[in-house]
Amino acid sequence: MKSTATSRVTDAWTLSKMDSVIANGQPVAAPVPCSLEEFLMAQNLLPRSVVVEHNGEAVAPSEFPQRQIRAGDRLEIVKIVAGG
Amino acid sequence: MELNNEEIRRYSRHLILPEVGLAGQKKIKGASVLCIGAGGLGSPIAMYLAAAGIGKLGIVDFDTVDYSNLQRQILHTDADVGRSKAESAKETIHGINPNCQVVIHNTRISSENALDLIRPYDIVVDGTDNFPTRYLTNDACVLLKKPNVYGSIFRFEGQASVFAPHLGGPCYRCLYPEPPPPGMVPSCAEGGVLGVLPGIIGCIQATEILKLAIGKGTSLVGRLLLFNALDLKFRELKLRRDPQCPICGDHPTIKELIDYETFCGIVPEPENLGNPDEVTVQDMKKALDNPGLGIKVVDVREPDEYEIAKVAGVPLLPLSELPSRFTELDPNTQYYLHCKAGVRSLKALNFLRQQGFKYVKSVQGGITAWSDEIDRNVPRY
Repeated sequence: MKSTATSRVTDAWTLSKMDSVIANGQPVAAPVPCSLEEFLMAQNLLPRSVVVEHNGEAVAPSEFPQRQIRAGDRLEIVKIVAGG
Repeated sequence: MELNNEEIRRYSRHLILPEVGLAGQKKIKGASVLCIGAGGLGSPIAMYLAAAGIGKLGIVDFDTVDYSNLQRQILHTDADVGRSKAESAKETIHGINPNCQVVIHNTRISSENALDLIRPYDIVVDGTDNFPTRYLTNDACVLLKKPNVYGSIFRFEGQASVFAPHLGGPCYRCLYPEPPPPGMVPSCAEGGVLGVLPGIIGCIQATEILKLAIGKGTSLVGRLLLFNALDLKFRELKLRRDPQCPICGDHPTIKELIDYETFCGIVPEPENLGNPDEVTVQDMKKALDNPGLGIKVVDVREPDEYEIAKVAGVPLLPLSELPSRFTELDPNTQYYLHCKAGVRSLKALNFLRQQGFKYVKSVQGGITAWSDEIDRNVPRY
């Protein structure tokens, strides 16, 4: 299932799989492998103002800089809202 | 805690539920809930909790009822416009169930009064509409070990959870350690909200409160429930307590309430007044009345808003189209930019500055201030 970082990209399908993660059900291009913090910044999201579930697991914000994400990983991302 | 014959009749549909029964209904009657905010979320929460037989309901709100509230804040009626929301809420709740003891706190919750307001209640429900009050409510609940039943809404989407570090779950800061910079996340007044949305999220909060009161079911502790009204979909995220959380973590650094306006980056009023990037609606009127001054006024709101209300003679150039259309403007002309309330026009100003425009100002208070201070015929929305 998981490609190794050194595997050569040979076709479009592999390319899309290699360079993207599934964020909220949609494929999103990402500079993987990278930290979750880096991914969020690349998406123009404020890492302290989003809740993230990584491959079905809760991640505390203090873990974002250490948490590594790889191609094909599933992320659920929720942005903060304040309305009431 | 006993139920009289009238109460037995009133709550019969609860009493015949094995999970509630007489014992559960007595617990509901014995429970006290503090509802912070009597707006979109607070409305269904307070009304359903009163109907369900919650013994004591505190309502905190300093605001008055505005016409623009009536589309979703069902505690208040047309006749209540201009009245205190807390007073109006009390009357509505009393009409639903006179057995419910309503305590109104017609005040703005602050670092000075929050602990005293919350202390007498078993459960707190967050129906507020801004970041400083949400962080304040969270911190006060963590310090007092009270469950904080959370809900928030924007446009077509809502979220709900139960924050209770003393029950092993996370708190609001475990999810969102820092607020976004001011102006980054629009409010419902700026971005809109579907009227029924707070009804749905508020009812989820009320459900969690009743479950906490009777001690049955699986609560939303450790889960964030998300609702999207446009797709009509629910989803759920797992949450965990952050050991490094500044208030409920293993080594807390926040041990008492702080200044939440400063924490959220909100500049106090006096400093705001002197913002050299801003002009008033009176300045805008002068510019429009005297074309010889060479000042052009541009509306940066979106086309739908322009259709609702506009100032005669002011062209539209939406903020969303500015990056591709700013070349239509002359970098050496003086511009006054206005939006609805003055937030987006500042964003547009910053963008144009980066493109080399030197003489751009933002109109403080936007078209809302224009309607209030210059021309009442321009509708407020």
